Amino acid sequence: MAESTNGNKPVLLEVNNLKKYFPIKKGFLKRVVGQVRAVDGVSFFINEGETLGLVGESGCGKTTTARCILRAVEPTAGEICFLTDDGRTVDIATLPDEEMRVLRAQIQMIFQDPYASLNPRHNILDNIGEPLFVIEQMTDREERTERVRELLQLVGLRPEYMQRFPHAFSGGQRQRIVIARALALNPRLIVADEPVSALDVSVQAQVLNLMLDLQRKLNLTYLFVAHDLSVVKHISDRVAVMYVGKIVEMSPTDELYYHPLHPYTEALMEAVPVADPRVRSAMTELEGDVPSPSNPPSGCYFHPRCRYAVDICKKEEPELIELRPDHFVSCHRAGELELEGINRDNHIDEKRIKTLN
Amino acid sequence: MDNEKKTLLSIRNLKTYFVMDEGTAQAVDGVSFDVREGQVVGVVGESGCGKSVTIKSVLRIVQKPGRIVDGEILWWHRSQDGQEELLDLSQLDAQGKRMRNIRGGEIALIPQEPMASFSPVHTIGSQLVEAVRLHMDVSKREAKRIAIERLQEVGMPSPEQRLDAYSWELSGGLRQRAMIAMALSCSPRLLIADEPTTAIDVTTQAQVLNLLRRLQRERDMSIIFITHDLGVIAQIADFVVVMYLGRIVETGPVDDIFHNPQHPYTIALLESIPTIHQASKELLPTIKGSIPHPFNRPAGCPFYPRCQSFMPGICDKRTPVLEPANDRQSVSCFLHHNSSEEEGQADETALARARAQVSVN
Repeated sequence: MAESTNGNKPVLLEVNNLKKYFPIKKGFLKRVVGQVRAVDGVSFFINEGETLGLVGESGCGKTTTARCILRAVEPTAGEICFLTDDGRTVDIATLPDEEMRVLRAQIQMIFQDPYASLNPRHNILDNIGEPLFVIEQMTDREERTERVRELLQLVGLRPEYMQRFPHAFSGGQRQRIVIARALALNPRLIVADEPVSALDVSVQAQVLNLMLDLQRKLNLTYLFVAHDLSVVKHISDRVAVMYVGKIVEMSPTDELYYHPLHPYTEALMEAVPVADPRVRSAMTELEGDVPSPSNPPSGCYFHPRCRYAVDICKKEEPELIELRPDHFVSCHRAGELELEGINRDNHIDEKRIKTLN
Repeated sequence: MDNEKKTLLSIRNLKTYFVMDEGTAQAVDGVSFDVREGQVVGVVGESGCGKSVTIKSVLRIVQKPGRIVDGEILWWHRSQDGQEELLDLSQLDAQGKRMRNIRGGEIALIPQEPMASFSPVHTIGSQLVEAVRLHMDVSKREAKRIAIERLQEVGMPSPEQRLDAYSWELSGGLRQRAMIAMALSCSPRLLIADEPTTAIDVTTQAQVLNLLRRLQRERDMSIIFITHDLGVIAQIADFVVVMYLGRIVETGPVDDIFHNPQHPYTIALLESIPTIHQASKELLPTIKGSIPHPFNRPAGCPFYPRCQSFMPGICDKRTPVLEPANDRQSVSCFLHHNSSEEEGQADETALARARAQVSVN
């Protein structure tokens, strides 16, 4: 894991101060009376071949961030620098539509709901073959069939199934089809928005394993958006934590889970129920609710719920700084606080190691 | 300790089928378990395992074409003057007065989606008062007092004002609290929580779980807690029922289920779930295949096509029943016993040979 963050790999995607505001309109004239700051100055980077996990509670702007990267929504401000396969660095945020259309082949998306993301009236061959036809102009049906066959084998489905329609497949199989479609154009970055949260627990593991396996085979880079901390830990090299439109902490996975620097990250870790009845801790609750992104609190957005908050937190907004090598945090008191990550010794772990041997 | 407590609900060999033109879905196929007073029973399983249909059968709210075709749902009913009576809920008229009194009054439900369960055009207060007055003979003012008291109990800030709020004005966590207050409004003896934390964030989930634990302790209430999240089960349940395709595969105290699972499905399920304590970027052990469609249930043990310990000629021929594997856990698996639904016993020597082969693999 350490070698994937050694800095030798080029930065594939660098997002700088990305903002997306949605206007709130009211009245007959639809005047703009306010703004929902869904994404409010987000900065992060992803090295080639690694996975960045993006976690946060619902409404924190993680999906909007993912959509901005594909320009599925137009960002309000900020830069999204992407290293293309011919070595140029382009700013996706300002790229003309015509160039963006070509570039999209290199950035593909996997959606949350595999039941809604496949066309039910097309068979699997057409569902997966469509991007080949549209973008790669692969008009020869035989050639397309051959490529779909390869793709299905790659994701562990039998190629004979390609004449079937999506309704004939289970959720896990559909997610494999969606992954095959995303891989059709040989993308370099895959943005996965909650790809396993709609799946059954026994199938989640299969899809996660497939994604890890494909990453190793094809040198893929993932932006993995999810709310489940266990799933994110499982797949990510580095993790970024979002809260009300901002990144509050970003670091290599183990560092973040075992030595968090932001009080919000600590609170998230404490809230995860431990799958062991012998460790029945009172799950420490975070008081209150996520503030509305249209009317965020002053200073640090987290201060009303933060147990370590002091005066400065109410007045000044903290900056995202690199406190330790490769560990970014935005908190006035970071460094002086002794925060607890997840507990390393756990009964289930020992048992798991035994059964795996 | 639990054995001394009185049984409150006893589900015996419950079968709820959905008979349709395309075929019959055996959503619940012979489920039996007990709930004792003050006990938290966790029911775990993946989608389609019949956990929701089981509790809908208990509440008699199974939607057509679903029907209880066999079995008993025994409920120790206590009337207001303290008289006890044993009722079979499966025999009552689902729309009848007795069932309506029990539903919401003695057995309450916390549904999965609080957003979809509250009426958006009535205030929280009017819905709470309605629930109270449906089951208790009290004045409007008294009902309102009870409603405020319940909201206070679930930790709702400024409950008097929240009575006039609509459900869509509340955040996810508060909405779920209001739902719990509504379920508790008539002091039920059994609370059924159907995936109450699935649709909410992990920080809110911790709030709701802590609240349920506290209420259960204070009121000595029984809870049936349905979820697919093993972390939640480990934190809240005393006794666990593991279901797969409409059948119970294993039951036992929570500690034994997590530290000494017996059924291959339970073992595989525990291993395949990513936990926060695991090293990252490692492949997870998986259960091969996927859950079969309810119309094509495999013959014999429903889990055999995905099972690591499949014994050809045994598991695919006969259907195991739930039998004690040790003094605490019961398992329906031929690795542990030789009892099946079909008449007669299999050849013991053949079974022993098959078991030996499985352990070699």
